[in-house]
Amino acid sequence: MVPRIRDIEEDDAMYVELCRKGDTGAFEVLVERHQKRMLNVAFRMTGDYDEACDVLQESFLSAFKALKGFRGDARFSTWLCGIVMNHARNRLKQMKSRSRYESASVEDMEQAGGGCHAEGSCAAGESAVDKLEREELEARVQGCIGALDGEQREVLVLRDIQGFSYEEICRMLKIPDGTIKSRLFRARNAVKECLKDLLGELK
Amino acid sequence: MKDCRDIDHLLPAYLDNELSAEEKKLVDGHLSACHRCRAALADLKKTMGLLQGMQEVEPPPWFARKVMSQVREEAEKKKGIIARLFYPLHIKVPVQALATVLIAVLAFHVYKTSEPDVRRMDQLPAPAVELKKEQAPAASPQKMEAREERREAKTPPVARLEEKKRGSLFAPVPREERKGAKALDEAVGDLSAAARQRAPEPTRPPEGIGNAAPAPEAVGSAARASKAEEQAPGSRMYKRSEEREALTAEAGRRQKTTFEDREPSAKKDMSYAPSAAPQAMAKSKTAAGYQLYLVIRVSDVSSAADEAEGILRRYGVSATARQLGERRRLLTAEIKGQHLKDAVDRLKAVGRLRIIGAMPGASETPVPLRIEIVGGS
Repeated sequence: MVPRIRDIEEDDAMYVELCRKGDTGAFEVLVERHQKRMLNVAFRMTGDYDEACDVLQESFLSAFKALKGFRGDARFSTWLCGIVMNHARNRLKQMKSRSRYESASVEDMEQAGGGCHAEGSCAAGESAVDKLEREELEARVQGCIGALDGEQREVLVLRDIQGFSYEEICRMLKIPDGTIKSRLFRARNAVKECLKDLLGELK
Repeated sequence: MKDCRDIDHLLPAYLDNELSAEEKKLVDGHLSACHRCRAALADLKKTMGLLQGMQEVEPPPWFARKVMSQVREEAEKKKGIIARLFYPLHIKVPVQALATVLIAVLAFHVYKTSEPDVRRMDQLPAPAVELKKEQAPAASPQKMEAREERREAKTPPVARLEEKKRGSLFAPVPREERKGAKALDEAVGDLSAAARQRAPEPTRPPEGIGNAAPAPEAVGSAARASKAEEQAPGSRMYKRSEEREALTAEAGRRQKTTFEDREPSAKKDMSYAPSAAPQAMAKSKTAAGYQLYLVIRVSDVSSAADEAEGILRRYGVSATARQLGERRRLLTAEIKGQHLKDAVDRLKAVGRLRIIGAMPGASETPVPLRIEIVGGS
């Protein structure tokens, strides 16, 4: 989780303005800047790397089209993340209807989560065994996130994994602070319950 | 004391320090006593640690490029739509509309300028009467003469259009007329200064040129006509023939001929180098000083005209008479300078005579003379 620097946020506004004036090159800067974090949001939401990439692609395109409507009262990253959440939600619905026939289970989700780490995001210096253990563990966690109900998953991903502030989440999801917290606490407990058998073994 | 289930629900908020002091005290109390709930809190902490410590995935290297290609495609599409929808609105349509309006205005203008000419030609004498009526007794007859002079300077429609463009046509607006006359006075004032230097017989210095408004006027119109002729070479033939018809009554034309007679070089200029024509005409303007205007106010116009013609015939001059209106007659003639004074003296007997313009000195040179006989004195 990369902490966002205020300077970069203000800088974003400049590039947004350039985009509005028709400078597509400026949009590329914004894509480069935000793609990683947004991809992680989408990935934690969908649990599938390729789906996440698709979701993000759609999101950036929608953002570009909707840039004229972005009034700058929120940060660009917040606004963009709201779009990503919408697309992820829609994608999940599609995936769900698909999985009705394919009867996708938590195991599938875990598998999907595990597959992603082949992209080489693991920390250097890890032994092969550690890496395997770690991948397995993360796949389990991802599976539990995927098992959450949609609303809880959203707040958990945004708050606990991506570290957005309550205020930012309020803007993205357009729900009050109290609702976010109650959903978040329930989500945490649910994940805890989901990982119960595993957690006992963890130090 | 709440049971473990309730405490379990409060634990995430407890961990986030989101509980009220009362609830926090409650949870703390329970945790110190309940081993199971302490384990649950530890699990929660571990879960949080796992969630927050999850590895981030990297976007594929081609990702930004792919997104941008789509974005550019979208931008092009947008541009395409904009071009199709708005380009004609913003650029093309106004240009076309402007062109249409311009053509319409031009057409209207051409119509407006050519149509009244036809009308004017048809009923030439009528406006003269009108003008006369318009001319209040206070208005000097010179003004009328100026009008007549202009009217006589018959020019083909094209040439007339040229004149109108210069804002000095037959506009029946007396004020403009006066203004034009004044401007011409000034112009001729300059020219007469030149005339003084060149003139072979400037018996009287043309200080009375201010009074001689109609003379410059006539020359001005002649000059204009020739200028128009120059500007509209296509109408030259037509104009020439028309001029010939109106020759006898055409004062400006007369001056031109006399001047040409006197200065063959100027004539040469005109015939061989059309571009030099304006200069030549400018020179001929100096001849204005020799044109003499006589206005005779009488009670019976026709008999007075006969009388005047008789007087002129005595000097071997045949005058061309022209009816200008019910009570106006114009006689144009050329009289030798040496007879002029005598003739004028005799003409004084016909009616109330006014001499407009400088009296030329006695010489062999023929002086163009205009005698206007106005009835109803």
